Amino acid sequence: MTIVESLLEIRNLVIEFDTPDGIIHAVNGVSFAIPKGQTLGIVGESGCGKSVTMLSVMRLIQQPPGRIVDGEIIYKDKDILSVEDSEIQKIRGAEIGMVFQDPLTSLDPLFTIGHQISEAQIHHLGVNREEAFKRSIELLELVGIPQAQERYNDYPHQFSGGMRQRVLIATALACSPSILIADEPTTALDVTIQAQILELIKKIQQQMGMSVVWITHDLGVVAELADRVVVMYAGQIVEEADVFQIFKRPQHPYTIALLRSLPRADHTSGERLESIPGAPPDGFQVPVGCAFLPRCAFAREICAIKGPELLSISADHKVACWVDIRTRNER
Amino acid sequence: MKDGNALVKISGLKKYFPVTQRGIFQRQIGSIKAVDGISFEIFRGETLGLVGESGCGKTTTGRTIIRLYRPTAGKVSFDDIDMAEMKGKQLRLIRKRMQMIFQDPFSSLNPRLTISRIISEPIVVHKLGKGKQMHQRVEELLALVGLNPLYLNRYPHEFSGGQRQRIAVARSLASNPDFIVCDEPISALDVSIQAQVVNLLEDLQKKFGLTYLFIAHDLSVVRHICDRVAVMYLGKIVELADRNDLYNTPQHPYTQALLSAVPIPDPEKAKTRRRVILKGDPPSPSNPPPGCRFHPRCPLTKTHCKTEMPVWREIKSGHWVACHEV
Repeated sequence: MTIVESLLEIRNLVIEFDTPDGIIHAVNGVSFAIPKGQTLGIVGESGCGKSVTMLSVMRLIQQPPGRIVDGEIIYKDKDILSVEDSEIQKIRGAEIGMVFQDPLTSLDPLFTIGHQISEAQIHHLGVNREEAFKRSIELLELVGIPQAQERYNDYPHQFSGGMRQRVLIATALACSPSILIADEPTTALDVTIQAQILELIKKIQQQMGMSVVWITHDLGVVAELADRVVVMYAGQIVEEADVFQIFKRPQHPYTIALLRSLPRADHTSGERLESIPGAPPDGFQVPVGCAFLPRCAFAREICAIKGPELLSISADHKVACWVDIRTRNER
Repeated sequence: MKDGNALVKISGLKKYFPVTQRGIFQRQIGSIKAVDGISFEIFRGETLGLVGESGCGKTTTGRTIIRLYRPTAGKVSFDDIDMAEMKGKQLRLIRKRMQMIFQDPFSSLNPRLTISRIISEPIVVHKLGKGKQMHQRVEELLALVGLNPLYLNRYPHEFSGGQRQRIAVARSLASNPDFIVCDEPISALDVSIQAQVVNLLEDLQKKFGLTYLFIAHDLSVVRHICDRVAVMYLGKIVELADRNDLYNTPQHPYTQALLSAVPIPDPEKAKTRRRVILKGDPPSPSNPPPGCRFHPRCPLTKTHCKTEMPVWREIKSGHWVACHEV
């Protein structure tokens, strides 16, 4: 197994949100690294804390109502969570780019897309309008916008959903970031358009060699794109491994159940889907034991008493579960 | 399949929405051809899948079939009764036999009504019971969809997405329908909840011999739940076949591209399979391209595709396709 250098490291991140109904424990002690030049897939259902975790990397958690209770995010020997605002502004958009789920609300309807792509370059790279224009055209061509020159002065509403997402990707890439964070960028798009965007990201990553963090609930997209996968449930990481390991030898009961419950487009099984009973927790309470316990098929006594830690079970595979799925014994 | 087996027959169905000029007079200046001449049958007891991308007209088709919209042209017959021109009482009588489940269980349930009121509404409207009898029926329906009958007096906001969709299913069963249009019933749900609702729909179908029109954009779920599948593109059906025929030997280039674009949760397969990546976006249904509607994005386009509309024909028993090049 080759050891991949990591570019950014999240250590024991804990994030809470104050709401009128109580405190939501969105992220409960998450630690992982973003490998250099690879694609990391973060998978989980809505409310599992995957987006909040990555938003905190950009320091985009609004405080209040959010609160970063604990943890460090180490990027280039500095803790992103404790540096000055001026410092983070140099990183945000320049070294770490982000693409959001909804391409319509992430673009400003009052400015041309050309203006929006150039803005970051003028601000971060100190180039003048002309240079920024030239580079923006190159970027628009790179992400596959036809007639980039003419479309430079168009407004967001003149683009389709897929094209807007391309524009956003171009904006995020404008300063050649070393990390691109993509938060469900294809969820709002049709499958044929999603396929175009996935191809595009793969191509650009090869060309530019950046790290990509892809947040999604779609295991199909992860299989397609990721090198490494982090599976989250109720604000915690339950499993982390190489993409082949996750799909071929999943070790956490949640990952296993999730993969079994998926209908497949590539063959007909004819059998009933194996559904997971119950529903994910709402985050108002931190469970004493394992958060997946009420839905777990392998539960033991210890699971209710103490939450399992994320431990390495092989060189490249981490899992947080008291039960060893292979032997069905407690670890 | 025998003709007598069809529960719903659709022929030449069209639904246009007017595009009007702004101002006082709202003169019509064009129309959006959401559904533009489609014909197919839905057999008794089957699940017919209707797939396609957003804006292709699949939801409009479902809504026009159960007469939530009045068709612009064409015929819909239910159990050999023509519904297209029906009105008032007649329509209400036949509507009892058809129901709909919507995509978003957060907006399809009235937040001001209790679960009991929501589920009993069809019973009241169709005068199927009163008082104690109705109360019993509602409890029975809740149990049927796997919810605790003690929840009767709660409000929708007290339930999770999956539970709300169960409530919507219970409501759709209240009038003992034969036919249910399921419009993306699981797309708004969490991944770990989707299988629960799919299984519930399958169980209920077996139990009551229901016929489903299952509208979805998720081709994996459609392969699992449907017996036959119709693929729509820009207001037209381009291919219709048995589930296995359609997925194993898709004939229309659009179906082929659509299937190859579905992400498969298997990294080995995903990294080796051949994909057809379509160029561009689907055109607007207000101004569809002449000839075959798919020709601007089709990898097989020939000159005649740009002018002649392909004929809807049966290339082998039960496998229908509209393409010049097949």
